[in-house]
Amino acid sequence: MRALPLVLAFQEAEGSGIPLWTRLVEAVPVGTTLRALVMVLLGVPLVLLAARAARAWMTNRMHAQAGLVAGKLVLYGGLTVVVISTMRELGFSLAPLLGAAGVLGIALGFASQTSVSNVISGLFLIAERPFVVEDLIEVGDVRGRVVSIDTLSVQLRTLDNRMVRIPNETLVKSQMINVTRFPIRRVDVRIRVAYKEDAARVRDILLDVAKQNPTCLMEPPPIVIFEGFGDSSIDFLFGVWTTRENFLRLKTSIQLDIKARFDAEGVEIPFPHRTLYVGSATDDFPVRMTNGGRTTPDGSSETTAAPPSEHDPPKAPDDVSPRGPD
Amino acid sequence: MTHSPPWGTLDLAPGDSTELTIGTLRIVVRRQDTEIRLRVGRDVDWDEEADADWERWAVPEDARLHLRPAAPDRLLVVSHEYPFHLPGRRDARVFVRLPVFVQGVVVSAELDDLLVLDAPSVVLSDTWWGTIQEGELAYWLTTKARAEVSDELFVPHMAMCPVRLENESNEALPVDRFAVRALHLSLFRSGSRIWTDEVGVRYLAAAEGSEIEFGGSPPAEAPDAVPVSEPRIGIRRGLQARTFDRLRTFTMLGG
Repeated sequence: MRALPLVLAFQEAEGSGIPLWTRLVEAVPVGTTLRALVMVLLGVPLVLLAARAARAWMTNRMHAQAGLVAGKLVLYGGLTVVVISTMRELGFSLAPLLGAAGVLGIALGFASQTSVSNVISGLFLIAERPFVVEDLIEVGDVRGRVVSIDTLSVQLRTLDNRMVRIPNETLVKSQMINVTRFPIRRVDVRIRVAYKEDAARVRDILLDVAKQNPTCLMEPPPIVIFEGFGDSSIDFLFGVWTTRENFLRLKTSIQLDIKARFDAEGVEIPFPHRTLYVGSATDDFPVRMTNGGRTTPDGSSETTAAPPSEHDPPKAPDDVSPRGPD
Repeated sequence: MTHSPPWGTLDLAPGDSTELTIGTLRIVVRRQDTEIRLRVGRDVDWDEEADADWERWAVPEDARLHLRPAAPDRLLVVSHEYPFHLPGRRDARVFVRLPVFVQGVVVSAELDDLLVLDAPSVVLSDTWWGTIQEGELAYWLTTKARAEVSDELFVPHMAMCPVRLENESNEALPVDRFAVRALHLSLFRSGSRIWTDEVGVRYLAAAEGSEIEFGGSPPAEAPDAVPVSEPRIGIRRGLQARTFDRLRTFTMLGG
């Protein structure tokens, strides 16, 4: 029908006392109604088919999430075209509708700013594909496997089996680490050995430990980096590669292997220690001996010097300090 | 016992048991009532009285356990102890010894063949074939890649794999390691010797990789060998895959 707008039919029905339905049937010829019906009956299935085809095509050419985006774009776009065409056929004037939609859109936009932002962020996440379902990701303090990527949020299952919902907007705005994006990972172990150890020998032992561990990949090769001279130790970084599935297994087994091998080879893993000097750095440490813990009447402890060993060098008179170690 | 160790069918009377060592794999098989019981391990001391160590399979009375060699279940990265260069437009034939898997199959007139054991005779180290962003998990095998075979090289748990390398490019090809797609190998037996079919690798210096073909029949050295194991994944024609390329950026991973 290119004739009477339906709005006019509404207005006339109000004043004339004639039932609205009768006026509508009179206002919209049968042919127009049939054409509109055909548009809906043909248009909707065609749009659904086109959306499915677009999804399959993009999935085959790119990946599942790109297919999802393409399918949704075709679906929503196609349905919009069908609705607009049908309404035009029925005589609805689109100009007032679009105007009203604009006003309504602004109002809704303010009201649902966060939701819209999440929806748009969700589309970005699907298109950009920084992670997929089953990936292990870290967002802030949360680490978990992606269970689903929804319109407004992403659902994570934490490693201790809790569900965490993260708004899509948060994921777009914040730093996210995809732990399982790549098929192999490096296990880094920081190792400290005593200063008396031969650093080259320690390196060889570590490389052999990696070679003997079957979950440790031969390539990429393991690395041993001399990190520096620590307070109490020589510090190494030992990095070994494994598949992401074996990461935790190797992290445990390689450290058990290192401990066992160091024990077998007599390599010392030192405790932190401090060397204290009083006075000159090269003199012996001053010692104050107490006589069985008794104290003199004036309140001070009785002190005696340890008998000098025959191997000891001659002691200076101040070897026994009245202050004792401080 | 009707088999020639370690391969063949074990004919055990009820209550009987037998123990086999294949490579580093130790297998104990016991026939008990209507069960076949298996113990599989390496460097283990089993408690003879403990039932928990046994893997039990309820089988018909006529069931027997058949042990057969099988190709490894992953790609093998073969690293040469003595790397060589293959000049352009030349070919070479080398022999690679690879440790087989041990498969145990329950055979009976009353049921289809039932795979109850599939374990490597020797545990190989894992390695990665590809880039750090994509690739596939593989076994690492160090070999001498001999040009000829001799009797002493044949042991029950090792299969001899002839590989023909053809360099179709104009430049010399450094052969320090290459990939053998073991999943597609067939195994054959000639006496106590285990052979694989011949693998042909044609290096084209193309990004898509090399062309690989599997003979599917016993090699020329053992024309009378009989098939003992089909490929884990059969292919009708050859395939094209990376065989020689190694990721250069591996050397940059220390940072």
